[in-house]
Amino acid sequence: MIEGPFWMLALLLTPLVGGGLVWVSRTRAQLNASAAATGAASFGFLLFVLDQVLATGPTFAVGGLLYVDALSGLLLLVITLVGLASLLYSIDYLGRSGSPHEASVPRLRRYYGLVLLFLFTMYLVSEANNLGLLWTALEGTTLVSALMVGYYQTRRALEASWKYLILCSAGLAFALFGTLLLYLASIRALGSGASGLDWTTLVQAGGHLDPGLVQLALVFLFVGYGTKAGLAPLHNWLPDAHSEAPTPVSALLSGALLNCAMYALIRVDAITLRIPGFTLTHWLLLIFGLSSVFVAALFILVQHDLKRLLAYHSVEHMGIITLGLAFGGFLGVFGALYHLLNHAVTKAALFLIGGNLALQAQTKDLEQIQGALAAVPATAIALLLGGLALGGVPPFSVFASEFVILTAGFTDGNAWGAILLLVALAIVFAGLIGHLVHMLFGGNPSRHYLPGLRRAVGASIGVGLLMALALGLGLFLPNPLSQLLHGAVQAVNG
Amino acid sequence: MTSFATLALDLAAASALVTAWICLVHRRITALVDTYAVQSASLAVTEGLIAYLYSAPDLYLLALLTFVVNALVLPGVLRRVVRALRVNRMVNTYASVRVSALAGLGLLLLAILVVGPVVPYAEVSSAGLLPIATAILLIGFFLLISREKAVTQVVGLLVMNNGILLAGIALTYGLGLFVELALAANLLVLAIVARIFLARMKESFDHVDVDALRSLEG
Amino acid sequence: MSLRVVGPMVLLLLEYAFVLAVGPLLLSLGRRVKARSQGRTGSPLLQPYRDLWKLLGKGAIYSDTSSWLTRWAPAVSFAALLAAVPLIPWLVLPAPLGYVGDLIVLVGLLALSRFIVALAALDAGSTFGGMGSSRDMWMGALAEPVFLLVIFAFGGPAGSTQADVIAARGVALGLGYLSPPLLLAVVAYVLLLLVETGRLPVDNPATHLELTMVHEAQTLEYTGRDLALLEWGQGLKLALMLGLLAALAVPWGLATTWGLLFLLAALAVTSLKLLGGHLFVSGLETRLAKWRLFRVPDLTTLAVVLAFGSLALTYVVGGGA
Repeated sequence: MIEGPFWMLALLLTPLVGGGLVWVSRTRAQLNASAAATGAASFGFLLFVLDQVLATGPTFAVGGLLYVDALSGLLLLVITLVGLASLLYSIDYLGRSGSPHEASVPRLRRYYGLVLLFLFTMYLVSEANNLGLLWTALEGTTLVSALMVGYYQTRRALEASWKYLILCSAGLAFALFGTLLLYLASIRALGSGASGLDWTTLVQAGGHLDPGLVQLALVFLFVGYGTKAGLAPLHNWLPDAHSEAPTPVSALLSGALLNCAMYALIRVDAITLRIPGFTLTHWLLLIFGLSSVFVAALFILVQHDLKRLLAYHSVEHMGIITLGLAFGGFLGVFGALYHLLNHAVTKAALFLIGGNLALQAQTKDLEQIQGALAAVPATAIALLLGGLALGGVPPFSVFASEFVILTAGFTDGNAWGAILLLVALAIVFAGLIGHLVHMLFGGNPSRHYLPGLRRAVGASIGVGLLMALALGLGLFLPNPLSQLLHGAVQAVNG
Repeated sequence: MTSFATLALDLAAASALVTAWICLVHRRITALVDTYAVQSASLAVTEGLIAYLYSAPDLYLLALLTFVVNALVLPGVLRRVVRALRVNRMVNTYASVRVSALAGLGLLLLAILVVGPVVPYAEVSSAGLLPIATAILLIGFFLLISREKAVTQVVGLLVMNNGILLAGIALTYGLGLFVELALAANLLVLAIVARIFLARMKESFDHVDVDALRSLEG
Repeated sequence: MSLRVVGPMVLLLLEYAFVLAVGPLLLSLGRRVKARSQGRTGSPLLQPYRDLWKLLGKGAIYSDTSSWLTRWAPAVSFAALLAAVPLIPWLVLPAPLGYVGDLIVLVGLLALSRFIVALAALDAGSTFGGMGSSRDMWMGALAEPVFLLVIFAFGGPAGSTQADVIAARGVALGLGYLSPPLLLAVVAYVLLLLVETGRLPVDNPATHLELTMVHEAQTLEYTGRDLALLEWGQGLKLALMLGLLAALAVPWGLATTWGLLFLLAALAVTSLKLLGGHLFVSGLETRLAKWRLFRVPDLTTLAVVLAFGSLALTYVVGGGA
């Protein structure tokens, strides 16, 4: 058993090493193999990291700049799972010769290189202890993923990626300002020291921080990280970026990246929870959460585009997680983190399935996709299962975590918040079922369906893994995972 | 001598604010980029003076970094973009120049209102520095949302970043050298990414007006 | 008469002589800078004095359709500018007649001078005169409120709108007078100066293209000694604006005690300030192209923003260090 920071560093550097492999690969087969191997290796290292976190608790590295606890572990888990599934899907989607969006070798190399770099920046977000570093890593994710959103170089893709780049960078600039103010609060509480910007320091400083200063910092941090997490009304870039990106990238953006921004908010929340009588965080979370679920609900009802529909569901679920945090207490935070995991696997799976359906129907237009069940039964059934999971139908995991969050709301004195959330959930469910029925059973399947992904072993494994989790996590929570979630809740609530 | 340096510090910060305002009335992209370069230079001067006044040797390095990256390299990259893409030199605005200028004034007042209470906490005891920095941040944001040209939006982002740099040194002598280096690197990557995008946009639409980017709604 | 009365009177005469002499020189210096930047040698520095001398020796010719207004306007305009001279501390603090009025009076006198010339240009009924008047009055309407605001920005910290009180505070504080609000006010004032004295990018004093003329269009009807007065008035106004800038922005070097040596030193320092300031403005001019008329409000708006920002920093934040 290797102690110390070895495993977390190994996990962090795996995508970079994989990127090096991609760089030197000459053929299509080598590129695909490098990507798959990197995904698999990350998964392997992740297990060791999680094992270490559960066994020996938090670990530091690089003089306290990096830090992994159960909360980081949870995010690492989410990123790795979604990353692995996306990489496997990519092989069938644009990696192999004969795949529907077959890319030339240089383009494919660039694509894999960017995806792996993207994974690296997200790992850095999870493992950063210094809030400045956390910010830098998040901005790094924006820069890298903007290039991937613009992968197709069509008008719409360029528009979406430019909007994404500019809006998120501007939002994050506000977050950096907030980080500065937080640093000032820390210096005033503890005296100037190099570690004043470390999350672990700030959490310990807790009650000594000046509440007025933290309040001001909090507003800027919420605007910044809220933009990046796609919370309404700062979500404008999100549907564009998620719908115009290549399918595996959409899955990564929705399943992994949004959670990275949410993770930053959770870390900030954890700091303010240590300040006695500090209620601003609660209200900000509540307002952003409710506005997100309602805005998303309205747009879901009138949506005409399959991938934009899924994107608005991301806004909704980010809102639900935010509400869980707002309700607080053990149940609320537990529900939020549990939901973060469930939403990530379910939504990533749905983006991948939806991508396949869009390939088969040759359109993303919800009006035109009809009668899919008769034409392409396998994809349609997968979509149905995924849709039901996303809508929060038992026994899927999303139901379980939504139930926990609602319980938290009703028991901890936020009943009206929970009732509003129920209303929004009902609207969303109605909209989603309407769209599903229309796509699967509706009309006459006059449209000519193509085969979509062929001989898709990788994609099947990826989607199968995610769907199995989406269902399985609702049926029972394995002990290590339960421990991880409890540890993460403790990291937040103290 | 120290009191003179304090004054020079204030003046350098104020000139950063003046340049931010001037950014709001420019109609030519090249002039905008030049003004940004001047602003970055006065920021570097401010950092150097704070390094001297508060004996914070780290900040000399930061000043050098700001000067090289923000005042020389980034404007250079932007000028090359403007030249290479033959971007239409005029800045189109959603808000007229006069409204923009007045908004700039409003943003200063807003900044004073918002961060006024925090001013006594700042490590660098110069009353104007923090409100000025915040105003620059907000003006940069306004520049970003009120202008149609993609290059102008990038300048808006960069101006925002200058505001944050200034706030950083005013509040806490910066975020520590390591983080500052990472921030500078981020800016450079941002410029490169923006350049890639602008080249692609030019290829596919033959212009770089954000105004035309309106197909995605709802 | 005692020295207490004679002293200030002599000083005042000295100041008048200085300002009247330096005005034309400033004009020709500006032309010279521009000529150099265009690769020409330019006319000799003393050319305006020769022009004035020649024009003053000539009689005036008036249009048949014009009234007494045309005859009197140049003198009134010139007199208004002359009356503004004592309001500014040129050499000594406090200014010998500084107490008779503050900078608001100065703005009024400049407006009077502008107004009477504009009226006279309408009087003869020529097209260009009317056009020039209309433009000039429009610019005046834009510039004068801003001018007042800028004066308040300068005067705020001193609690006075009197130039020599503000300058005296500056001299007393030494370098401590410098502050962010002051910098903002100075930039606002420079923008305003471009508008007030009709420099590029607002008006081109060297143009002979009728469609773009503003001030030149108003003097088309005049010859001889009237034209001389108007031209001299231009120089005088430039000297006034620069002198005010020198007194408010960089007041150091003004004599605070009486004595020949102090006076000579102050004379040298003030001349240097005026020349330096004018070289800066002319240099600025060579880098600018003429703007369309409708961009003038952009300039004055920026000046408003700067002046207001200066006031905000003074009163809300407390003026920097």
